This record gives sequence, C-alpha cells and structure tokens, in this order.
Amino acid sequence: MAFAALRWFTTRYRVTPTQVQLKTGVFARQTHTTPLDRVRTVDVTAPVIHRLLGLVRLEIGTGTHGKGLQLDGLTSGEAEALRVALLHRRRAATANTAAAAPTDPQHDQADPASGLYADAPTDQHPVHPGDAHHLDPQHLDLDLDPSPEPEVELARFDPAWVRYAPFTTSGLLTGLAIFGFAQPFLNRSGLAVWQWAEDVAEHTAVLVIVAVALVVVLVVLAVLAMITYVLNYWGLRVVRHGAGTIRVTRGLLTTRATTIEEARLRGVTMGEAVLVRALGGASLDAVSTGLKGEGGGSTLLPPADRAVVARLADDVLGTAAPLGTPLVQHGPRALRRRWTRALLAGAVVLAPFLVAVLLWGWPWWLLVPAAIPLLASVWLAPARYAALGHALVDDELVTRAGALQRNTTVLETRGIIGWTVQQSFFQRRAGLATLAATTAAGDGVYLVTDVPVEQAWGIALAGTPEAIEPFLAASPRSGPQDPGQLDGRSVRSTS
Amino acid sequence: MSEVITAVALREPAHRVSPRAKVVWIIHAILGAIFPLAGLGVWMWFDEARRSAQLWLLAVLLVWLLLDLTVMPWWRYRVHRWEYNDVAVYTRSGWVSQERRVAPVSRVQTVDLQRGPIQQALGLATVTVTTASAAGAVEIEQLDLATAEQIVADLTSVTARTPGDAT
Repeated sequence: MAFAALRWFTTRYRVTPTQVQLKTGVFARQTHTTPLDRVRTVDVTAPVIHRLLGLVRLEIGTGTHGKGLQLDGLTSGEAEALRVALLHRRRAATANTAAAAPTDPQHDQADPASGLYADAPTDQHPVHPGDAHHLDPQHLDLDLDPSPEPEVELARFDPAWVRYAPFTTSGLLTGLAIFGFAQPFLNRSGLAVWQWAEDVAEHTAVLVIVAVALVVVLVVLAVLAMITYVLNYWGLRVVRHGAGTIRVTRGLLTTRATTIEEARLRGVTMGEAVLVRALGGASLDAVSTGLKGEGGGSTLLPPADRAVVARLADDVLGTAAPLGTPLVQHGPRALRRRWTRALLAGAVVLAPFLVAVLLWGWPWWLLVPAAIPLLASVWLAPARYAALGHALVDDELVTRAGALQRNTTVLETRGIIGWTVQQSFFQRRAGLATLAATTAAGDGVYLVTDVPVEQAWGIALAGTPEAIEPFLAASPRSGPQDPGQLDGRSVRSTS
Repeated sequence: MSEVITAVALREPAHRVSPRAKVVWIIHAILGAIFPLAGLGVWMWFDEARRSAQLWLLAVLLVWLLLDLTVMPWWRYRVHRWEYNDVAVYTRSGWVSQERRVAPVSRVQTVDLQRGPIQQALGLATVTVTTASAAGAVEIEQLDLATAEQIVADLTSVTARTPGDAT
C-alpha cells in the first residue's frame, strides 16, 4: 500500500508542444519520451475495477513494434483531455506552425513552453482525494468529448450480430481453450461418467450418447463464444471526429476506446471465417501505421452483417465500394497449384496412418479421421482458388485469399513502400509468383498469392509506376507465351 | 473503377555481386554442416546399436553438404544481382527459391553496411536498405567494399533529400 502510494507520487507525465514525457520509478528513475508527431493512435482502456473508481489506462501507439507509452490510472476526464491534446491539438499545432496554441480550453492555464504537468496515479487504489467527484457516472462515459468539433457516427452495435460469435475462428478457439482448461475436471469425474455411460449404454445405442455429448459440447462452446463477444463488443460505436480521427468505443465490463488518426490509415481488412461468411457476416480491421494487423486495437467491427461492414469500409476509406469490386482471378495454373497443394497435404497426413495400419496392424478405423484432410481437399482446393483474386481500384490495391479464413485487404497504393516478388522452384516452373506489397501499416506485408509473374509486375507497375518503370524489360512482352496463363478474364478491366 | 493491369516483364538488375561471394557461401555451407555432423558423430560414438539409421542420416547430410558446396554457390552467383537509381533499389536473390525486391528510395529509412568476420577477411560487405515495414528490408549481400561504400553514400544522400517520414 505504501509502495503503491510511492509509485503514485513518483510517476508523472507531461505534454509539451513537441513531445510526451513519462517519468516513472521509485529508486531507478526512467524517462520515456515520444515526439508528438510520432503519436499515431491513442487507446483508452477501462477494466472493471478502473471503471468503479472512474479511472482508465491510456496507451499511446507510436508505430514501433515494441510496446507504446502507457499511463495507468488517469481519471477518465484527464484521459479524454490528454487524448484530444495528443491527437487533435497536434493537428491544430501543425496547421498554424508558428503558434502551438492548445485548442483545448482546459490547457489554457498551462504554459505551452513548460508543458502541462499532471499527476498520474499508477495504481488502482483511489489515492488521490480529489478523485471523489470523478465517480460521478457521467465521468465513466468514455464518449465524453470536451472539444466542440462535430462527430459523425459511422456504425453502432446491433445485438443481432451476437449470432455470428459461435462461428468465428476465434470463438471456436476460445471455446476449445476453455474446454482444455476444464479438462482436468472432466478427467477426474471421467470415470464416474464412463460408468454411468456404460449403464445407460446397456439400454441405449452408443451412437445416441455420442450424439448427445457432441451437441452438449457444441452448445457450451457456442454460449461461451457469445459471452466473450458480448463482453468485448457490447455498445460498440464507430465515430468519425471532425478533426480527422476515427474512434472505436466498445466493451460491456471492460470498456475500450481506440482512436486512429485518419491520416495514418492505409486501408482495411475484411475477414470472413467460412461459417460466418455462410451466414452473411464479416468483420473489419483497420490497416494503420501504429497498429498491428488484426484483433486488439485495430478492430473496426467484430463479425457483423456484411452490408454494415461494406458500408463502414467505404465510409472509413472515403471511396466507393473497393470491397465490392469484382476481382481478377489468378488463372488455371493457380488452380492447379491449389489442387496439388491440398492433395499433397492430405496425402502427407494419411500416409503414416496407412503404413501403420497395413504394416503394424493398427485398427483400420483410424484411417477414417486420417483421410478427412484428403477428402476435404475436394472442397478446399476449388474454394481456395475461388477466394484468390486482386484488383487495382482508384489507387487502392485489393487482394483476397483464404478458404477457411477469407481475408480481403484494401491497401492504398500511397501506403506501399516496396514490392517483393517471390518464386519458389515450383512457382517458377508454373510461371507464378507471390507478390508482396510491403507497408508501414498493419501486418507490414500484404500478399497477392500465386499470380502469373508478369501480372505481378503489372500490379506493381500500376501501383507505383515511377519505381518500376526504370527496370522494365527493353521489349516488354505484350502477353505470355501460354495463352492459357492469362485468358481474357485475367487482364480485362472490370469497369 | 478497376484499372487495367498489363502483363509486364522486368529485366535483370544490372550488376552482379562480387565473385568472391562464392567463397563466402562455400564457407557458410561448411559452417552450417559442422553442427549436424558433430551431433551425429557424438550419437555414433555413444550409441552403436543403431548403425543403419545413423549411416542413412550421415548419407543424407553428406549429399546435402555436397549440393551446398558444388551447386549452391554458383547458382546463387548467377541469381544475385542488384541495381539502383535515384528512384528505386532493385535486387534479386536466392537460388532454389528466388525473390526480387523493389524499394522506392523515397521510402528508405536507413542504409546500413555490415561486415562479418569472413567478409572482412575477403574485403566484402553487405548493404541493408530498410524501410518502415518490418518485412521491407532490401539486402545486397557480398559486394566488394568499395562498391558497398559507394552505394551507402549515394543512397544516403538521395534519402536525405527526400521529405516526409517515409511511411
């Protein structure tokens, strides 16, 4: 307790017109400094206990891959003022470069040269007596915005979306993880259950028991996934702020507000897990410098109705329907490669089981589960091919891939900071290549997989002409030698 | 609306790396084989019961080493090429799998020159051109030192003239 108080006394932050400073440490003093123009995102989280005390944790993303600057235990009012100061005041400061005048009236007393000093309690205990009035419910609301600039709501949570939760990849994984966590429990009572099952089995068909057990497990998993979804995304709002930021607020118990600077936004990724897609749903992530590719801070929409996702993507990017563009397919060689890869993977799984059954007399029924990947390839290979595609629309590169988790990324070509054309031995024989567009945002690299190599360079040329033109072959081949490689469909415009 | 994407081919980058690069790659091949071979040697010393498996493994390792010594360096030397101008850096590398990279100079953040102990002995250097992407570094391996220093000087001066934070 005394130590907590000491930590609170020794932690200070300060915002000057050019940088944010955080000083921490009781014995070993540390100063973290970040220039204001490197601040790309501000993430305000309020876990349950924080919320009861009217406190929040504020994290500043700077686009480095390490952890950002973290200020724990601010009051929500302070955090809000700081958020505005970090993202909006800087804009004002860059607008009229000479006068770095704060736009926020709260900061008017603070001398811009010496900066704004404030105490930042780093513990969850309400050490600051002046905090009492912050328990006022209105201060718990992260939507509180002291700046006068206009806000436009782009999307709002719809409880009907919860139906997608059980069908997401993460929902299934979370369920399985919880199930695995409960495994020791189940094992302990397993013997009793087994004996009970044996008793029942004398009267009932074993198949029925298995079916009932399966249904029970699935229902439990579905409920867990839905609970997780509600906890994370309840009350979600996506808001565009007049000063050039997009803010996502969400969460039932732990609330989270992420602010992304629009100038740092380079695109979006739409994710469609296979079952969510079948139900007409999709999710949306921001591709922004300062944010990792998927999940966490970059979430714009959790699995939701596809129409809502498409509309939000258009709003956020400010262009018309890049996600709805018909994509150029990658041609018959890419399809053949999908087949060989799926069949080979299936065969590799099956082969050891086949050997074990034939040579070492393992029970034959093991072949049934072992053959599933091989049989699934009949669906997987064409589905993976159907997902492959790309297009260049209005200075945006659209690329899509994946059957089980289909991801469509829209990346602004101005955000592309390099191209890599990779060819494995087999890709070279097939005349295919994987084009990687590198960027400072999101995952750092976005792939156009198994595209005919000359088309790969064509995309790069269309995306960043000035960088590719000097290296074009002297007599550019107008088309490939093999007419099957690029049929009309693959090169035609889809205007 | 969707742009027409024309199929185009790129020529090879203009310059080869230093011919001494082959020596570096041969030494790397030998160094890379030492640990597996030593591990196998220890196993053979202590465990005489599984001779046939050990000999198979030894054969595989030796074939691998042989390919690495006879095929890889010459193949790599034919593939590895580089070129740059005021606008972009263009490289090709690899052997069995190959890649070509183009990085616009306007997006370059740092230009590094590295020299490992083998490279120092042979008068070679590696130039690494990094961009703001974690996946975006362009490496030109095994250049002779004078060329490498020239590249660093050129790219640094071009980069310094380019405004913006290169993201």
